[in-house]
Amino acid sequence: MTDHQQEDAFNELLQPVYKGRGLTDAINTAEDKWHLLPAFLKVKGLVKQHLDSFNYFVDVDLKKILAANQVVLSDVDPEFYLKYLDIRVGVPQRRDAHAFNTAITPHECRLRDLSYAAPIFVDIEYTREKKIVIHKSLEIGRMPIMLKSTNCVLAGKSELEMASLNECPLDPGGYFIVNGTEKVILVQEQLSKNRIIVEADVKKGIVQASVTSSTHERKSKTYVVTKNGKIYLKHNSVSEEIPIVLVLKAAGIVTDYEILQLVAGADSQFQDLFAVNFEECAKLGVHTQHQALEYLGSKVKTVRRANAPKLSIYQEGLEALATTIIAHISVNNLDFREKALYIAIMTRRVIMTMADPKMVDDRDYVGNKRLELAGQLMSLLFEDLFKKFNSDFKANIDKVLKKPNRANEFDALLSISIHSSNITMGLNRAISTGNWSLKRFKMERAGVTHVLSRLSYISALGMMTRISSQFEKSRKVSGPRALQPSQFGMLCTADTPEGEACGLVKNLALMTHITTDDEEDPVRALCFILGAEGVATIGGTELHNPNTYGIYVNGTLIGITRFPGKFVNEFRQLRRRGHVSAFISIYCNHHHNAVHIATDGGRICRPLIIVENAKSRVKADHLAKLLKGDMVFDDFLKIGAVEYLDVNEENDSYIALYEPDIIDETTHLEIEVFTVLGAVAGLIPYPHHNQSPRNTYQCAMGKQAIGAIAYNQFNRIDTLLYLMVYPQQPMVKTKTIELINYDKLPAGQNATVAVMSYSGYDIEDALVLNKSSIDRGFGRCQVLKKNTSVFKRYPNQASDSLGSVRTETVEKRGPDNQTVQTEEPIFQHRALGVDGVAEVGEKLDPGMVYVNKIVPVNMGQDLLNPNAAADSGANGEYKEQPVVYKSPETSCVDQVMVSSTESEQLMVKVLLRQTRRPELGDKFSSRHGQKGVCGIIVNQEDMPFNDFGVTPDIIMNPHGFPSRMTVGKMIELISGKAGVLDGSLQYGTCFGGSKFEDMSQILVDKGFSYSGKDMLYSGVTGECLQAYIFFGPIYYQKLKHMVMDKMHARARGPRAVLTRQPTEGRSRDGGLRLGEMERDCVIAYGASQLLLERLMISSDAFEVDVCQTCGLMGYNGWCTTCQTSECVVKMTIPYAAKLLFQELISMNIAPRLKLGDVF
Amino acid sequence: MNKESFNVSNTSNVSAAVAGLNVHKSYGVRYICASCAAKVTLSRNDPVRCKECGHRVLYKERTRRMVQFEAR
Amino acid sequence: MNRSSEQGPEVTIRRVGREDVDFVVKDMDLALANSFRRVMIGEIPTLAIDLVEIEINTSVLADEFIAHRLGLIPLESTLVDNLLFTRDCDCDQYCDKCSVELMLSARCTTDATMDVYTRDLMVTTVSQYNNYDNNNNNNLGQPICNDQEGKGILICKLRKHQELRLKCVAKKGIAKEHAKWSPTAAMGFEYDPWNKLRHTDYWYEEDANEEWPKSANCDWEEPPRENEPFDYNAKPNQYYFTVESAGSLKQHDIVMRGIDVLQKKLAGIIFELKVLDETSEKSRLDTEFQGTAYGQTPNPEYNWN
Repeated sequence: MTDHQQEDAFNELLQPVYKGRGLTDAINTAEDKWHLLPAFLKVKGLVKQHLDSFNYFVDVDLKKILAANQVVLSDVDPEFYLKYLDIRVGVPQRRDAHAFNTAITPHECRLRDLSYAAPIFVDIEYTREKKIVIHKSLEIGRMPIMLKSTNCVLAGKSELEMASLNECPLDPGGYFIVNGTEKVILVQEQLSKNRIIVEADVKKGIVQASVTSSTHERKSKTYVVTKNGKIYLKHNSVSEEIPIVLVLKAAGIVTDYEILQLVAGADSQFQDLFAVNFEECAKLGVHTQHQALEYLGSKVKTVRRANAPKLSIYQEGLEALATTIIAHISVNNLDFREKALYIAIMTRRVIMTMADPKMVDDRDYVGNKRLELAGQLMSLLFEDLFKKFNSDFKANIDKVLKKPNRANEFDALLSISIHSSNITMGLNRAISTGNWSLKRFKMERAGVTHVLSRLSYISALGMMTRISSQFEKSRKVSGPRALQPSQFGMLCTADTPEGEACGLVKNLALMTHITTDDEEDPVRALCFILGAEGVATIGGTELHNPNTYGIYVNGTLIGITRFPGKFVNEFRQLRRRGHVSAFISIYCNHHHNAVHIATDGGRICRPLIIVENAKSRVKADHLAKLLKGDMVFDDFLKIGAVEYLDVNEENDSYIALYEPDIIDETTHLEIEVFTVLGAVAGLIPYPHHNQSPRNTYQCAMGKQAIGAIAYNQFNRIDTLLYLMVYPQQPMVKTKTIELINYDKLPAGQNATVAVMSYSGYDIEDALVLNKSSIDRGFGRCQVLKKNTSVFKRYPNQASDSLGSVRTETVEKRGPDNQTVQTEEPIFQHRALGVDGVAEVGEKLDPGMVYVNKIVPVNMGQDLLNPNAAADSGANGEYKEQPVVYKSPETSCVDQVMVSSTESEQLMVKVLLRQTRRPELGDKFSSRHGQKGVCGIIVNQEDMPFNDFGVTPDIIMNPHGFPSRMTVGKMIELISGKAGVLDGSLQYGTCFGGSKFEDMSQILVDKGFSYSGKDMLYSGVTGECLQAYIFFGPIYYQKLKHMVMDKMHARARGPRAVLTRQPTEGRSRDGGLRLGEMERDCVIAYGASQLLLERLMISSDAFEVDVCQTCGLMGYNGWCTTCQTSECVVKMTIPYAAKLLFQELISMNIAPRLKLGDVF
Repeated sequence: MNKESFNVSNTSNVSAAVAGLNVHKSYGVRYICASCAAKVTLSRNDPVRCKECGHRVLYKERTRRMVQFEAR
Repeated sequence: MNRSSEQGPEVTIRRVGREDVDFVVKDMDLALANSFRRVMIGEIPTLAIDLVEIEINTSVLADEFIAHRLGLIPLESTLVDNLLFTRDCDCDQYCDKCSVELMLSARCTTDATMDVYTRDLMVTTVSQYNNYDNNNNNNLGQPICNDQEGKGILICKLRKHQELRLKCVAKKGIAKEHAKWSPTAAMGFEYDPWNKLRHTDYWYEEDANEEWPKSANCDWEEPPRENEPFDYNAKPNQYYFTVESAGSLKQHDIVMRGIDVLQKKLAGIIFELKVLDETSEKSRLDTEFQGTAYGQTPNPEYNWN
């Protein structure tokens, strides 16, 4: 699919002349190697990780899950079996009953609030009355399909085909559509599975090695910990810590000497540290494997299912050691050798750390992290649902088969189709709510999916590269939030939110790949071919010999080698030749004397150019072929010019940034340096000149910028859509901007900026805007809001409907000045058409109805007289439930869409449009984290101008610069100015871009000061300004925060029912709270009457009758407690106070009011 | 009853809409099919479906009334 | 030729282009020169589309979007003085005395994209002021199409079967209200190119003369002599104007009308001042005769005069 999927977007690259360079131009490898980056993105795309992962799930993982749960047997009938033969996912289909064209497009799903899902087919073999039946293509549920994955209709479509499907060709895909909303499964970051992590608590003197074992069946965590200098094994299913020697004995290593050898080797320091552990085991009287297993068995917490057979203590111990402790190492034929070695190695790591505290592992190191993608999460979910499906199915057939004599032949097919909605619903619900609850791991995870933010193209793209961490946000640890040096090139260094999720939510860098699982067995075999000695024959002496290196595949020791360098080199050569998957990494860890090979999924890796003998393996003719289109990125992999390195393998390499930096030791060369940043941070021009937090701020703000969203933006009906009327591509671009097509879907305008103080309305980052610029369309934007109304059907045949237009008689003066009486719609219904829905194009004023919905008065099922109810409902009375337009500003009806939902109910979506010009208080920002609101709008003639008569669009206060140190913004201005004068677009690419000297030269050539400063005249007096003014174009973004959506005031208005206090919030026309601290101020000031007015009279004053005798409240001048009207007085208290008294009374507490005279 | 609706102050919307005569005219309104651009006339209680191609998404046609805008 | 400043400012026209004029004004006060500039940008009445009545719009652009684009189109306004401001007119919304109507009707019937240009805007008001002999060239409200093909500005693009039918009402107005009524594009203005008056401090690293580019107008004034003493009493005297028309008015019309508007404004002020003088004189007399504080605040405490 990859070959021509993005062809159109990259066609430009294949043109004979690209970026002013022809094919015949000399190729300079040092400069042109960056062309590998677009080639990479062409193959991989920006969201390739999601697509790869989902495709892997559909094509491979699904079949693996099926194989693991292949057979369903009945407890009742031993004859019965059902076997799954194959599983497939089809293409997305509609579920309309009478559809003759079943294909469905994603866009239709969005419009009609459907799910974009494809049927899951299985082939089954089962017994039907002693016959074996094979049934093919049985639908067991519907799988939401990721857009642009192999099963999606958009896969491999050209730009034209995409357009005909109403889809934006620049849309990255990689999300799901569930019930009409676009949902992204965020990439989840977690600690790698099945690897040993050693941690130390220096204060408590504890060292622990832990491993999280993860298999299809279970997840468990095993610890090897120190306690008072002795080492124990800890596991959740074992009630107390087990001495490590005992565990090793249980695992079949009987002699103490062998244990010592396996753990400590010949090192006397390690031997001394470990020796104490033998004592405890001996004290417990455990000498044999049998004794050890019995001891272990006695400590196991047994949770048995009801009908499972009871096991002896020995068996318990055996089973615990074989299946639950370090569960990812499988034990065959009770051969515990591998597991014993694994525990020994864990113990050794603990001892090493005890001897040298520096040997701890870093949890935050990116090499110890794995990313879990949509495919993996879906596979966890699907397996859970599939298991539930099978057990439900089994329960169902058991129930049927239990009956001794069944009337008709039993067909399992019937009962299987009953449960198919469980899988569909389960998948849909998980994706739409984001709650991943997996029964078999007792895992409960919320917030896995998010609605794809379509605020701007960048926000959607940024969401696709986002990585969320499992780490709790509330904990005050800085480690996981800090920038890790190992993030270089893998995770964007700038793009992270501010505040509580800072450093926990990350983004992928531009040129990264996330691996999927690879087969482990061939790699093992290869290791032995390359001369590894198997683990079965070696003992501690060989293993811990300083000259031998252990070979670990995915963290498990499989053998040793005495020539690690040669081994690793040969392995790499094989990988470069394509004999081993390119995504398998191999590296040496000299601290642990280990060669690690990783084939597991979720590792981040990135391509680098291979350097051999101080020469780059990418040669000029390769690049020439690439530019000509004769070579694609994968060809570079095949010829061994480029390879993928993961974070661990990077540690084995010496990577040069630029070609001239290559020395003899160099092993790799960066393809392009700006790929340290991600897609969102790539928008910033000259980010390497900015203070780093400014780049981070821009990353947050770039996602709020209003601009073009997609090519299909006018066809979309989204809840809220902001569009800019005249978006422009930035004068100062970056290479990233071109690669992610920001120049085609920009969000901002090139404003001419004067950096000066003007009018005093520009303090605290406020901006001065030119009124004429606004008149001419600067910062103008459209806001589109959706309203959906669904017309329900009720059980009594009645259904919601649309009411008609009400009219009134109006006297009008006719053309000949005679009064004519005409029927006109009442004001509220003026925009409605005859169908009861507003006409398209009509203006809506506040108070007008735009969907005149009517609801039957009687909609319940009348049990006594169902027919009567049907009569009264179907053609009976209705009450109006109109949708009223409320915003104070007028809107236009942009679109009215009529469709039906999946349950055949009428659905009307009305899209309302507002066009807004910038006003006081609207928020703008440049691309350097410099936001500001509009402080004043000034007429053009009052604006400063230069001798050509150029006036600025924006005046920015110079105080914004010194403390923020956004030098990149200044260089952007100069480059932009040079570009304007020169008629060219300039580049501000990170660690590159147009050079300041060149830009200054252009300025000088065009008759301007090289510094970018101009002499300006005051528009008010005409005098020239004393100071020089920094003057030129800067790309400004209009942010979504607009005054119109926020301003709010009220004098009187609605009150809450319970407390009778004013409601809260703009949406409820609420009051403005005088809070506790404000109240304190008023108290301190002594303004008691103001306090009384604000807190009671203007809020919830209430007159009560208080009995002075008992202090309780009565009513109507009568005290019910004292049965008298004597001493009852009226007084005013807040209603909330009265409520509190009554609530207290209800709890048997009598609050008594003691009244006294004020004066 | 809505929790927030005690002492409703803004009565301009719903209750005022009850004023005036209710005229029932249920002749069809024209819609445009999103798929084949055919003009579809639907009347009340018709299923939403294009009569030409069976597509289920229809758009309402633009009003014939003149709409006035300020050119600013 | 010897003129004294008593005779008023002297104007030298240096260059007249197709849409712009470059001239030098001598013997004028800076304040007046700047007022002149400001008036030319902001207060010369022209004609521009102000109301758009959309009948059919099936294009991709929203109604307001098209209306805004139409508003910015320069319309021929040489004869705009014959029109009234709508606020001064006695009609309800607009009429022939205060507005010009234009029609746009376009429908794409071909497979290729159709471009709608300003030349497709048709003036429908038959105005008595139009000079039909002059080959439609300065008809009031005629859209300006100054480009080579005479197409004018691109308003909208239409796909097959898309249609645009609308009526525009062009009204008289000034740019203070909305920039679309501005007759000028850029307004070049400069004085004292050698900075003899030292109104500005050139910023420089080593040498201001080296680093700052010379203005083209430097040739028109004597360079400062070396060690010339700074004359702190000197006032700016010579101004370099470049008036570029946006199309609605010819550049000379802009200049002439600018003078006109400025004169009228000044006359208005003089008139008001006179009225003020007369009333205050009258009130003074009233006070003397009647002894009451006519025209003063009732509370004498606040009367600090």
